[in-house]
Amino acid sequence: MIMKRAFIQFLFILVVTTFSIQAVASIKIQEFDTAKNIHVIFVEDPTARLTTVTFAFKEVGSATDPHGKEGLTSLMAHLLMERSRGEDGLDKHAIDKELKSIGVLNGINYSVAADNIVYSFKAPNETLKETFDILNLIFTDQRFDAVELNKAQNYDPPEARLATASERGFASKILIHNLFHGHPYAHPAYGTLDGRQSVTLADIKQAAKQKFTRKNLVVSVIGNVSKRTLSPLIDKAFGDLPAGTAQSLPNIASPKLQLSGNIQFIPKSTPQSGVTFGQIGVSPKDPDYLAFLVLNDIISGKPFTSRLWQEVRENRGLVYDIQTEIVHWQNAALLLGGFESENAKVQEVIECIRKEWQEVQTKGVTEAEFKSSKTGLLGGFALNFASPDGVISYLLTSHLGGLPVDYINKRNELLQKVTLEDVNRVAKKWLDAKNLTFVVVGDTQR
Amino acid sequence: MKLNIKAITLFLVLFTFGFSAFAEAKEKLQYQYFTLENGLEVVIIPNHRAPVVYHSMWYKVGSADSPIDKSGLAHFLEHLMFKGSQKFPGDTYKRRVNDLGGNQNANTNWDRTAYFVTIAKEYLPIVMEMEADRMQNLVFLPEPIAKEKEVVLQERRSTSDADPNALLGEAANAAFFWQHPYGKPMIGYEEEIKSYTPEDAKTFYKQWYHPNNAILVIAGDVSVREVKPLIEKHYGKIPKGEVPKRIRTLEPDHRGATAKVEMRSPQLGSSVQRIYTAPNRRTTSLRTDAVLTLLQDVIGDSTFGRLAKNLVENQGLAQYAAASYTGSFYDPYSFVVMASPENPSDLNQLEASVEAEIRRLMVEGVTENELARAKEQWKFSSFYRLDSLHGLADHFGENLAVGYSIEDLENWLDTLQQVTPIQIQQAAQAIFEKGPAVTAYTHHVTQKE
Repeated sequence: MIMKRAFIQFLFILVVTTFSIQAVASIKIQEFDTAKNIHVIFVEDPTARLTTVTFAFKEVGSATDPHGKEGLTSLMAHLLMERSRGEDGLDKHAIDKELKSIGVLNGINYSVAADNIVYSFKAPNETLKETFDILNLIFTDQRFDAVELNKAQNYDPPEARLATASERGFASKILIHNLFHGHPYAHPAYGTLDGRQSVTLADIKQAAKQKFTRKNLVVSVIGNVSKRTLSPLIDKAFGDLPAGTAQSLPNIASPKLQLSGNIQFIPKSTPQSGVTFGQIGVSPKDPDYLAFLVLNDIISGKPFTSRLWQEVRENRGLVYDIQTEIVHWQNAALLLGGFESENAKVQEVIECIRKEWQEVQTKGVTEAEFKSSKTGLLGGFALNFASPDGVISYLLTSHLGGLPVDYINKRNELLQKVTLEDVNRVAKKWLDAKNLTFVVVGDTQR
Repeated sequence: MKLNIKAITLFLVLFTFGFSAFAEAKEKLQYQYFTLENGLEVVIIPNHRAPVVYHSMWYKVGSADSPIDKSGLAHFLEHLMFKGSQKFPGDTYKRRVNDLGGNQNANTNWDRTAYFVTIAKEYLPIVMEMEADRMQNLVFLPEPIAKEKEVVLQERRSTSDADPNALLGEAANAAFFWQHPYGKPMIGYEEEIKSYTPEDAKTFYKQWYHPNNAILVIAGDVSVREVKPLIEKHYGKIPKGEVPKRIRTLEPDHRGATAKVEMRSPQLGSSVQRIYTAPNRRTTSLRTDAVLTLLQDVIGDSTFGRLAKNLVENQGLAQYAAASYTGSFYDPYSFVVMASPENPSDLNQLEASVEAEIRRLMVEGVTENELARAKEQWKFSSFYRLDSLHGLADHFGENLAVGYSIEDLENWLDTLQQVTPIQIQQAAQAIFEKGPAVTAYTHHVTQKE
């Protein structure tokens, strides 16, 4: 009787586990080029009342800013949206009003990163066409205003200065600057204070010609719209952009990481210290990536149950949150983490981190930890599909990261193959306790 | 049959008009609401986009219900809910949710404490079993509690002490409320956090955490038919409890007294906020809530509001201007009008201009057009709410917890549409006549590096 029950329970778990892997295997992705050669990644969703659109101009991000004009891309993207009035009165305010009145309630958002410029918006199905018309206006009737440029140059991003930034934000900026020293990834997307001052209106117009091209563009869409309707709308919006030449902007070389293994202290009078730390990471294209994902999850990536969370928050009460994540660029990857704590407790936290790092690097992780993390990562993948944002974000990130577009449908199958041996091999190969580098901003003595 | 061209044209016109009218008709919310015998309110929202469920438990108790010298206790209890219950001791709850690939979180405000899990649908029974146990059998051990106090103190440091904006908020609320507990921070004051004992937390838990003081909202790949028996099984057997009356200290009438609060920091930009006393939904009506919500839009919408049009666009005096109101508090709170100047040295002039705009509205009222514009936006809002798994679920949870009824949520869009310009003008006069109870200023100061 008991054996029978155990067997049934085992079957149940097997079925349940298998089910959750199968359940996410089937997003139907359409990939195509429009008549005007714009690349599109598309998922048709009959249940959606809103169409979610994210589009990116690839490999034209802030890393391509010329030396001495760091901040050019950021200023360009900002000015594109701060349209001036012109003769037709269709300035930023007019466009914002129009977008809101057609139900694009959150406007058109953008973000400049080192490698890419990414835009996103949601529009009701009924007014998708009007929204693409507005995009056409913004991108082909570009209006860069000298007054707006001046205003933007007189405004220092808060993250740029120790006095105005948050502790962790500034620590982050310094850490990246140090790790990528001398390489275009070293400066933040907004540039440098000097670089921003050097940018001219002519620079911006020139940059826009080079960066906003159909060759660089990828558009991803989820919505209740057919490919037949969508394709001409995308061409209407972006078809007038220049085709783009083969090589208008310099290639970004791989950076040589400068890992000192030190702690840099930056004094600031503040009730808490903000700390960031990092070491080399693994790119999604690397065969070790999924094993590294599991490793990160166990050591410090998963809230509530990671080793660092247990040691530093649960057992010692030293922090509110402590987490690491794998951050990747076109040509680089880092494992980055951060925390805040009382000024007097920073050293203790850092020692804890170094100790766990050394432990895992030399001894690896346990079978139990590995099993927990793997089932969690497998079972949790389905959560990406619960909203269009989850799906579109994954699709675009995969594409921008050089992965095949159907990676989303293959990922769990691949993760299933990762073994404990893989994870521990990757720990020995990639973890680097000696060169784990820290930046501390706070009221801390050396 | 002879083709009658005229008739066909007319038919086409009617069909088109009819179709768009249909498209504009109120989307029927898909949900089921019922109450268990022990008083637990339940809302089920089917959503079959993915085999995932969102399980949220909303306790009708928040920081403003904390004992008078233990501000933030409700938030501390929220932390302790993750430290183990009888059947699931220590970190079992957290580990199990993580192992099953779930996302877990919780948050507390003045009026409710909520616990969320998003997880693959087949694990819903496990989540319910664990949630039910911690609703009635939470364990209070001195060691973990002592550690968690340190964590909360660090959270306070991060979210308040090191953030001048948050500190301004604390000062502004303290000036706005002389007696009512909304005048204290949701996370509590540092000194009072340090004074918490395990006994404090346990007493508070036993008073407030009962099924008849909670709302369960589940959204996701479930049907009512399959999930109702599960709810009965896990939550139905928890006995009803005696819950204290939810009475907070009444805020006395300030009788026109106003207070100014200022904060100077390199981390702040310049801004002014005028904070007026305003009613909430629970102590008035859905109509009042709707009127004030639209007043907020007419004054403060970032694109077509009065302030945006006149101060930002036309006069170039403000970089940013907005208004903020919600009826979604258990007790009456505020209506806020705010602006940040294009030029920091013009802050006084900006404030005077904001005041002038408000006076103008009180005297002249609002146009039909303006009001129609504000109403139109709300038509689309439900699409956005339905776009995520948790959007509609949170909408139910938040509002049912502070005195809205199911009918209120059903009737919200209609109630908005019925508001008239005269009602807006009268509401404006009532709110703005006495002037703001508190004016809060932030000043940017530069610091030598």
